[in-house]
Amino acid sequence: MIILINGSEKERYPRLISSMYRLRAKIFQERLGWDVTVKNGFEIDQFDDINPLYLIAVDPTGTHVRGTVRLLPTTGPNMLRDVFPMLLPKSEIIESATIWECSRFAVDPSIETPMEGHFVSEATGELMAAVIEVGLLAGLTEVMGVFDARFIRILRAAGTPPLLVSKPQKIGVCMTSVGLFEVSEQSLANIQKACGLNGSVLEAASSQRYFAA
Amino acid sequence: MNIKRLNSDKAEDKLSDLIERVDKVRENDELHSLVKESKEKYGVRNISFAGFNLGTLTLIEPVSVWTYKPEWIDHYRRKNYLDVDPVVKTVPTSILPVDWSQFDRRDQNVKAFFSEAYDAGVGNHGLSIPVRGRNGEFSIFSLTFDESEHDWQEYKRLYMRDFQVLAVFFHQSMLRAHKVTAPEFELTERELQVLYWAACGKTSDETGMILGISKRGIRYHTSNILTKLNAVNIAHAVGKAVYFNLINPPK
Repeated sequence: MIILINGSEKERYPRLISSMYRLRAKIFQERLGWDVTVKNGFEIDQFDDINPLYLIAVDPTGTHVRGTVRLLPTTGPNMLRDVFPMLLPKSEIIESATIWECSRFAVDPSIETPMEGHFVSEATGELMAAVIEVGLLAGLTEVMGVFDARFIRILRAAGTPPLLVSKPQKIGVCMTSVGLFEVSEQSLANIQKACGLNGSVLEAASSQRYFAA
Repeated sequence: MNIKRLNSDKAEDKLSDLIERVDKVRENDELHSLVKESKEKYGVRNISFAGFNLGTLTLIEPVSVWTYKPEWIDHYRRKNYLDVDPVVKTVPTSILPVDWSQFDRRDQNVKAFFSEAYDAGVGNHGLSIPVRGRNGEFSIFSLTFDESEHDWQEYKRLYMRDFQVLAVFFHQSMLRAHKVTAPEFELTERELQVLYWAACGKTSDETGMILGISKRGIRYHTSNILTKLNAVNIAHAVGKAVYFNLINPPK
C-alpha cells in the first residue's frame, strides 16, 4: 500500500516521514555510498524543503515503512537540473509540463526479497505502479530519473524499460544514467502484471485527499 | 454536457491550436483573450490564470487573467479574499493538480467564500494546476465546470494532460508579456566559491583560509559579487544566490 504525502503536510505524518529519512540514509549513504548529507540518522536534502510529493510504501498495518520515492516537476527546481546537469550533454535540459522527476527511490533491503514467481519485491512493484498511477491522474506523459544500473534492471524486470537519454557516468560508486519511463495505462498494466499487483496500490485515504476520488 | 461528443473530437488539435496562439503572446491583453478562447474550446465554465513571485524576492501583486464576471472580481478584491481563498493558500505548495472539493470547508470564512463564488457563477466544480517556474516564480491555472460529478471525473481524466500543458504555456507567455526573464548572473568560479562558503556560515577570513586566498583577495571577489548581484551586503548576496539557484549550500 502506498501513502501519498505532500511535502507541505510532512508535520502531520512525523513517524512515516522520519522512517523515510532514516531509510534513505541507510540506502544512499551506507549501501550506495552516495555523497549525501546525513544528520542524526536522517538523509535530507534541499529538495525536501520545496514541497515534493512523497510516495511511501507501508506494510498492511500502515505503520512500517518499506520504501519511498519522491516526485518533483521538471519545470521547477529538480535534481537533474540543479545537482546532476553534467549527466546530460551540454545545453540539453529536460523541462516539460508533462514530465516529472522521481528521486530518492529506496526500498528496505531487509524486505527486498522478490515475491513468489516475480522479479521484484512487493514494495518496489508498488512504488513503481504508484508513480504511474499518480502520473496518470496528474496528466503526465513520462517520469524522468537519474537511475543506477541496478535500478534500470529493476525497471526492465518490472515491465517498464526506461529510455536512457544519457551515456552512463559514474556518480559515487554507481554507474548512472538519465532515463525516462512512460506514463500510460499500458505501462501501468505491464508493471501490475510483472509484479503481481491487482488494482490500485494507493491508500484509499490518500486518493481521497489528493485526487478527490 | 455530452462527454462522448467531447471524447470523439480531436483533443490534440484543440490543444496544439491553442498552444500555438499562447506561444505567440507578447502582451497581457492577449492573455485575457486567450483564457476566454481556451474556455470556449474546452467547454468549461471559467478559466483563470495567476502568476506570483515574478522576478523579485518579494511577493508582488500577482498577474492575473480570468473569465469570471467583473462583479465577482470586484467582490473578491473588496472582501480581501486573497487571504481566504484556499486555492491561493494551498496550491502553491502542491505539485499535484488540486480539485476544489478537497478543501476543508468547515471554516466559516471558507464556506462563505465558496457559497458566494457559486452564487456569482464561478462554477460548481473546480480544479487548480500549480506551475513551478525556473526561478522561484509560480502560477496557478484554474478551471471550473458545471456538470454532474460523474461528468466532472470523466472530464478531468480526459483533459488533465491538456490542462497541464496549457498551464505551463500560459506561465511562459506571462513571463514574456511582463518581460520577466531569468536574470543572467555571470559569476566566476571563484566568486561562486566565496558565496558558497559564506552560505555555509564561514567568515571572510575563514573563507580566505579554505580557498587559500588573501584577505584582500576575498574583499575583491566580494565587491564584485555585490555589484553583479546588485546586493547591499554578503548576506543579501547569499540570499539572492540561493534564490536564483547559483549555489546549493548544504542544509
